[in-house]
Amino acid sequence: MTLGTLFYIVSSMIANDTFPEKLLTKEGLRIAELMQEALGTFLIAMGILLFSLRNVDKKSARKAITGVGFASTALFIGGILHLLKNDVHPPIPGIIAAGLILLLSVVVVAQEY
Amino acid sequence: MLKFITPRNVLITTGLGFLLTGVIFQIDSIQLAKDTFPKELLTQEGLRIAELMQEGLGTLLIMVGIIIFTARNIEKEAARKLVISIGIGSSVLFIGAIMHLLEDDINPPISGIVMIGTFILLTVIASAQD
Repeated sequence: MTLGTLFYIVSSMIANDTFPEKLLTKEGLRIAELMQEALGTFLIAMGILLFSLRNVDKKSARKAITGVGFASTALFIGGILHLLKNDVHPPIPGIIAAGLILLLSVVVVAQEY
Repeated sequence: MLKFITPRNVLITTGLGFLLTGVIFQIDSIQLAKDTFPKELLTQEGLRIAELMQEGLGTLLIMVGIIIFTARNIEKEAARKLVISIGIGSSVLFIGAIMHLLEDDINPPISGIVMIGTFILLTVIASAQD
């Protein structure tokens, strides 16, 4: 949720850091700004989903965390692929966060209760 | 008929719905960008940025879909909580899209807005049932 709010507040700064200069014309920047806001909305929606699951029973929580792990894998691989292709520069802290969430979910799911 | 709208069925429907929409965003990103943004913004650079961002949005949609779909077999009370939060989360998306439509700066896809509206309706029905 915090990340989503950040995407709203500093959308043009994130766009400036993410895309190469040749794409950042006035039109490009406006589209990037609008799309960052859409991304922010989705992040907030996802935050609400996960936050509402904080008090569910252990078995259900484990299933939900498995889903979070799979989902973070998609985000992590996407970010790494873009980094390797060098077409855009996804924010490194974001990729690290996705990697950490992935690691945490694997550790939590693997634990016995 | 309404008895089929259980939290589990809503989780399956919304999960698959988000997942499929995410895949469509990945596959058809250019066409979606052309339909969404006004022509004056769709320069070569604008279109490229829109394409990349639609793919990013597609990844997030797939993520949400995976999270919801993997939670389809959780126990009833937890499923109900999740369904309520899907309703709240979808309302955020719905209000954002409607505001953009009213401001007339961009045209979010109507099919997407209808889908999100349907999800909200389903979550309300499912969470209200005994």
